[in-house]
Amino acid sequence: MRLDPQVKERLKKAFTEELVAQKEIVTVVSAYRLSEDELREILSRFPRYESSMVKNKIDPSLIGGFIIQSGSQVNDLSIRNALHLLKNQLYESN
Amino acid sequence: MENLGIDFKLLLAQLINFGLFFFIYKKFIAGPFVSVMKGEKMKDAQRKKMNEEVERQKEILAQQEKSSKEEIHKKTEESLKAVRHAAELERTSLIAKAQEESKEIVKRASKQIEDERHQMEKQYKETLAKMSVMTVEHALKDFLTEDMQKQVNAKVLSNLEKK
Repeated sequence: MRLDPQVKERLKKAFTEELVAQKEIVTVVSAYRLSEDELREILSRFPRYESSMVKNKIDPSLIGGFIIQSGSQVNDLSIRNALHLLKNQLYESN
Repeated sequence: MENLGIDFKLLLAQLINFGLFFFIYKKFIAGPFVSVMKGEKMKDAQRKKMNEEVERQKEILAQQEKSSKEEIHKKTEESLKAVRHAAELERTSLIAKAQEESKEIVKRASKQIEDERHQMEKQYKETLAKMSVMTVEHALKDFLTEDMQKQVNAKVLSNLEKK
């Protein structure tokens, strides 16, 4: 199927804008609702996200710690993930 | 002679009579009888000879039968000995083969037991790890208050280098 070059260009632009918008939104997932100070403190550790818009999502299954998501990038610093890694290490030690 | 009572004519007639009687007796009675007797005697001798021959043949046959039996017995013994020897060799071979197979079976079974033990041990460790982590997870969920969670976050941040 051949696309009209103009339509193709518009789609590409819209897609890029969507991607940029997603990249600009940073989601911090935590076990409890984080205060503004806590969010600021967290973002201060990640300078590339400092100018981004921040959203806080609650997930009690994290137990403690937090997860920072931006686009396809994920930094999992939760206790759940630490336990998961520990479990994998125990499996691998067999 | 007449005074003695001997009548020559009568004497002559008696002699002739006797001669005739002798001739007829010898010709028609004694001769055939003697020849019959001789024939019977010869037949008896032949029978006796035949009986002796039969007895001799019997003895030869008995001797041959005896030697045949001995020969058969000897051959049977030899055959039995050969069969026993072959059977002994076969038995030894079978025992060796069975021993080899049993060793192989024991070896395989030992390896299988070892593998299963290793597998069970691995499963046990995995289950133990899973249960331990689950227990810790549940305990932490129940135990951690929001303040503690804040402390955890602070600790995480303090350990975190700037990215």
